[in-house]
Amino acid sequence: MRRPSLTELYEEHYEYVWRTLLRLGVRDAEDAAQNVFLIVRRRLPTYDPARPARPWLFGIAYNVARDARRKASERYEKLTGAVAERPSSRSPDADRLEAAQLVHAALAEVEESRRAVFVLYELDREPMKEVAATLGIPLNTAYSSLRRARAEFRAAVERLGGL
Amino acid sequence: MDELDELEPELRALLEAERDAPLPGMAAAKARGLAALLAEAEAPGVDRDAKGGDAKGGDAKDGDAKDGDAKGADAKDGDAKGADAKDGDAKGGDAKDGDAKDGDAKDGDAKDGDAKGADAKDGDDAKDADAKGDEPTDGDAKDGEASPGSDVKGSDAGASVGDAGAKAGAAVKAGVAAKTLVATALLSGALGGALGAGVTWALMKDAPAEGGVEVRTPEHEAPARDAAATRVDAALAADAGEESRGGAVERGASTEPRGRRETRPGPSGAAAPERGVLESSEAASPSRLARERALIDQARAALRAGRAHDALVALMGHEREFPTGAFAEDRERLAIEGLVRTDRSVAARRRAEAFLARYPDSAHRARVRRFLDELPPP
Repeated sequence: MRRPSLTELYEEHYEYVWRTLLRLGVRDAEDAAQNVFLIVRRRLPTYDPARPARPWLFGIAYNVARDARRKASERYEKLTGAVAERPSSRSPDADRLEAAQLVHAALAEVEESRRAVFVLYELDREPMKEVAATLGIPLNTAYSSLRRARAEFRAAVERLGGL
Repeated sequence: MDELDELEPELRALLEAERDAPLPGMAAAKARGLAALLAEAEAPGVDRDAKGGDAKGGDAKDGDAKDGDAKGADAKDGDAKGADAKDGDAKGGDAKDGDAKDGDAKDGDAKDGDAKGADAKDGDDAKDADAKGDEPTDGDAKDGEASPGSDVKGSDAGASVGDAGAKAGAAVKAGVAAKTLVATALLSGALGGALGAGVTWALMKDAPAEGGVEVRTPEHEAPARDAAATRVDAALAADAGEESRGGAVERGASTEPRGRRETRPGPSGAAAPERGVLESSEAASPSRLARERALIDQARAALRAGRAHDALVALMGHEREFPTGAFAEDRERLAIEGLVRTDRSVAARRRAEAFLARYPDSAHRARVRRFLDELPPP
C-alpha cells in the first residue's frame, strides 16, 4: 500500500486533526494543528499505510494537546455566557456550533485518558478494538474507561445546562 | 463486560451535532499551514509562530482585497502612494475577488495596458521586477508601501496579469511614472494566488493544492522548494514587486530568501488549486457585491440580535466565498465580535491582533482594540 504524502494527509485530515484538538481541549487549534503536522512529517516514514490514518493522527494530536494544555496551564476556553444564548430562528449550523462548544466544554470535565477513549469511540466512531490499540490499553480497560467517561460527560453536560 | 448500552439519545444528538459543526477559522488556517509546513526547514519540533501567520492568512487575503479596493480608489485619485501601497494588495484582491470597486485595478491593466502590458511581454522585465523587488524594500515593512524608487518595471510576464496589472494600472493612474511602478505589498502567505499565464486566477481559498504553479528559479538562486511552498512565493513573485508588507513579513512563508522567478502554469495545467478557480473576468459583478453585502448584513443583524453563532456562520460563509472580498474588513471586525461573544478568546485575540496589523487605517480600530483589551490575557 502506498504511503500517503504529507500533503495528502494534510489535505485529507487537517479538519479531522483540528476537530480532534478542540475535543481534546486545545484552545489554539491552529498552532497545535501545525505542531501535529510537523510531527507527522517527521514520523511519516514509520507510518504503516495499511493502518487507518486517523487513529494514528489521533495519537499524535493527543500528545500535542496534552503538551499544549500543560503549557497553557489553563485548560479550556471557559464557557460563560455562550451557552446561555437561546435565540429563536437560528441556522442549523449555528446550533451545531453551539452544540460543539457545549460538547467541548463537557469533555473538558472528563479525565484526560478517559476522554481520549470517549472521543475515539463516541465521536470518531472507531471500533473499540481500534480505540484500545490506538491508546495502547487493554480492551477491557478501554470499555471501563468509556463507561466512566460517559458518566462524567453526562454529568458535565447537565451541569452546563445542556440537558 | 463488553456490552455497551447505547448512549442516551439526547447525548447522541449532541455529539452528532458536534461532528457536523462548522469550524471557525479552520479553512483559513489550513490554507496558511501547508505552505509553512512545507517551506519550513526540517526543524525538529519547532513550531512556527502560528500567530504571525495566523489571522493573516485568511485576513491576509482579505486585507489585500480590501486594501485593494480602498486604495484602488486612491490610486485613481492620483495618490501615488496610496496606490502603490495598496496595489500590491489590490491586485490580489481585485483580480480575484472581483470587487466592483477594484474595477480599477483590473481596468488598470486592461485598459491601461500601460506599463505593465508592455512589460508584461518581455520576460526580462518581469525578472527585473522580481529581482529588484527584493531589495528596495523601503524599509516600510508594514505598510506595504512600495518605495517609489524601486523600479519594478515589468511585472511578471503574462503571469501576473492580475496583480501586476492592477498595480500597474493603479499606479499609472496615480500618476506614477509608468516606468517606476512600485511594487508592493504582496499577497499574504495564505493565499497562494497563482495564476496561470494570466488567464485564470487560482484562488486558494482553502488549501493549496500541490503543483499549482511551477516556480522557476533562474540561476538557481533559490532552490526549488516544495510545490505548495513555492506557490506562495509564486503568488508573491507574481506581483512584480517588493514584498514589504508587514503582514507578509510576519508570515513565515514570506521570510525566506527569494530569488528571481517567474511563474508559469504548472505542467499539464493541472495547476489549479483544487478550489476557487475564478476566471478573472468573473470578478466585479454587482451581484457578487450584493451577495457579499447580504452575508455581512446578515452577520451584523445576528450579532445585534444576540445570535453570535449565527453571525459566525454567516461570516464563515463570507470567508469561504469571498476570502478577499470587498467586505473582508467588515467581516473580520464582526468575526472578532462574534468570537468574543461566544467565548472564543484565543481565536478572537488572534484575529484582533491580525486586524490591527492589517488595517492600520480602519475605522474599526478603536473598537477592535477595545475587544482586545477586554479579552483575558493569553
